[in-house]
Amino acid sequence: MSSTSTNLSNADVLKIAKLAHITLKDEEINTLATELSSIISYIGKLDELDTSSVAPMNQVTGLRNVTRGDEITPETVLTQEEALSNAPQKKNNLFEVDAVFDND
Amino acid sequence: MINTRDLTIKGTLELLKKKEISVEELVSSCLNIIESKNPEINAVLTVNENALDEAQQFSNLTPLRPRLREGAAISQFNNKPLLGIPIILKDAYSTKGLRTTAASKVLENYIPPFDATVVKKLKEAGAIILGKANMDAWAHGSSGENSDFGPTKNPYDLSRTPGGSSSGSAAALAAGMSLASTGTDTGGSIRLPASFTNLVGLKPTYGRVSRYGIIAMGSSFDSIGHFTKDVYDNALILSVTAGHDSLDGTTSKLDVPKYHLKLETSMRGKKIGIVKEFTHSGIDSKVDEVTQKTIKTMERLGGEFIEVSLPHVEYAIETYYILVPAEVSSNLGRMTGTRFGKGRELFGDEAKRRIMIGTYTLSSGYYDAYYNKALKVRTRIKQDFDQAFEKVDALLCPVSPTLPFKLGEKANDPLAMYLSDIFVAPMNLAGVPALSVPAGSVEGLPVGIQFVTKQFDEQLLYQVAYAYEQARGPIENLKINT
Repeated sequence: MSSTSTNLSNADVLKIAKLAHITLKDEEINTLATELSSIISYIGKLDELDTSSVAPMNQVTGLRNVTRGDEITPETVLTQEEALSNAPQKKNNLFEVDAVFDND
Repeated sequence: MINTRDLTIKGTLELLKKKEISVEELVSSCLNIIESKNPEINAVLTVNENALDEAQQFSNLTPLRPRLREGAAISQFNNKPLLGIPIILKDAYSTKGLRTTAASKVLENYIPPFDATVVKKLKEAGAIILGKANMDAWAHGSSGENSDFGPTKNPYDLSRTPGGSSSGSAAALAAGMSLASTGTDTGGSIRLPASFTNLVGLKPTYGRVSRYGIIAMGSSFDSIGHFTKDVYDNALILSVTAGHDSLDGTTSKLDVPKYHLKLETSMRGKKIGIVKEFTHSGIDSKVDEVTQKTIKTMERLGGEFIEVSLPHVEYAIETYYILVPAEVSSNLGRMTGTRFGKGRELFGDEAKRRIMIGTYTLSSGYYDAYYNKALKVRTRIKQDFDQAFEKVDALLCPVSPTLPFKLGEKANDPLAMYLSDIFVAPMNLAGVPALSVPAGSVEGLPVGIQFVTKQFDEQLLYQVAYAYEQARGPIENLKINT
C-alpha cells in the first residue's frame, strides 16, 4: 500500500460492485469513485504504523473452540411454513431461485 | 394519563406494587404519546398492536381485587423484575410476528419468525414491547439520517439529530414514549445518542449480552445495550439481558450480578484516567467545559485523576473503518432477496459505500495491506486499554466532540460523520464496557460524559457512574420541545 492517496477509476468501482453483487446506476459511479477514494486514502494512514511484531486480533473475548453437542435445540427449529413465511417466491414448499444452469 | 417523561423504572415498579397505577394505564399513556408525538419526531417505525392486550395479562396484579394477598402481588414482581414496564426496541432486534426492518427498504415487509434472545429475556421479565424504533439503516451512521424511512428528530431541538445509529430509541425514550429502550453499539451507536438526548446509555462488554437474533453489523464489534433515564434503571436492565447464551458462541459464562443492588460505593481512592490523546482532539470548548466540571465533581468525591496514554487511539477510526465495513460486507451478503426481504438494489447510499469499502479491503491483493493490518492495530489498541487499566480503575472521557449537530450538517460528508465517533469507537475495538451519563447542558442541548472500565467490570462502571449521578444532581436548562 503506498502512502499516496488512492484514486479509484470508474472501472475499479464497477469491479468492486460486481464482487459485492451491487448494481449501480450510471450517475452513481462517479460519486462513488470520489467518495470511496477519499475513504480508502484515509484508512490507508495505518501504513504509518510498524506492526511487524504484532499478531492480528480477530475477536476480543479470548474464547477459543466454543462448541456444543450435536443436538437439536427445539427453540431454534422453524417449521417449513415459518421458514417460508417471508419468501418472495416459493414453489412446492421450497424457495424459488433463478436458474443456475441453462436448459438446452 | 400518566406523565411517563418523568418516571423511572424504579419509581414505576413502586407505583405498580402499591397499585397507584395499572400496567394498562401505563401502556395506554405511552401509546398515546407515540400517537401524538411520533409524526413530529419519527422515532417509532412499527407499533405493537397487541401491547394493550399484553398489558392485560397483568391486570390481576393491580387489584381492584382487594382479596389478593399483598405477598402474592409482590412475589410476582420478584419473578419478573421488569413487570409491566413498556420498552421500545431498536429495529435491529428480531421480534417474532412484529415487523423488523433495520430501517432499510430491503426489509420493509420482513416479519421475523423468531425472537432475539434479548427480546425473549425482556418478555420473560415481564416487559411490554411497545414497538420498534427508527435507526440509521443497518446501524450505519451516527445521526439517524441514513434511515430509509426518514430521519428522527431530537426532542430537545427538532432541528437537530438525536445521534445515531440508535436514533429512534433515544428520541422515543426522551419523549416519554416508553420507560426504556434498546440499542446496539458497534462504534458508539448507543453512547452518542444517549449524550445527545440526556439519557444513560450502555455499551456492555462485547460478549456480555447475546447478539442472537439481532441483525448483525460488525459481528466482532456489536454490543447489545440500552437506554434509560438513570443509572439504577440501566443496571437493572443489564441484570436481565446479560448472560451466557448457547446460541451466541461469543457470550461469556461469567455470572450476572444484580448490578442495581450494589451501586453505592465510595469513590475515595478510586483512580480515574484521563486519556492524553483525547485532550488534543478537536473538541468544542463548551463541551470540554462540561468534561472539566465532571472531573471536579469526581475529585470532590475522592477520585484521583491520572493521565493515561492510549497511543494507538489516534488510528482508531481508520482501523474501525477497515474492519467494520469488511464485516458489514460479509453480513449483508445474506440479503439476497431469496429467503426473505427485497433485492440488493434497495440498499441506500451509506450501505453501498460500506459494503464496497469492505469488499475492496478484503479482496485479493488488498487483504494484507488493509484488513490484516487493521487486525494488528486492533491488537495494539486493546493492549493500550489493558495497560491503562493496570494503572486506573476507570476512564473518564467525552462522548462527542460537538454539541448535538443540525440535521443535514454532516450528511453530505461521510468522513466528517465518521469523525463523530473519535471518543467512542476505540472502546468497541477493545471490547470494553462504557456508559454515557448526562453531565450538563449547553445552549439548551444535552451533553453527556463517558465512563469506561475493563472487560466485564460493569459493576464498577455502574458504581462510578452512580456516584457521579448522585453528586451531579438535576440537570438544569433542558426542555423537551415536542
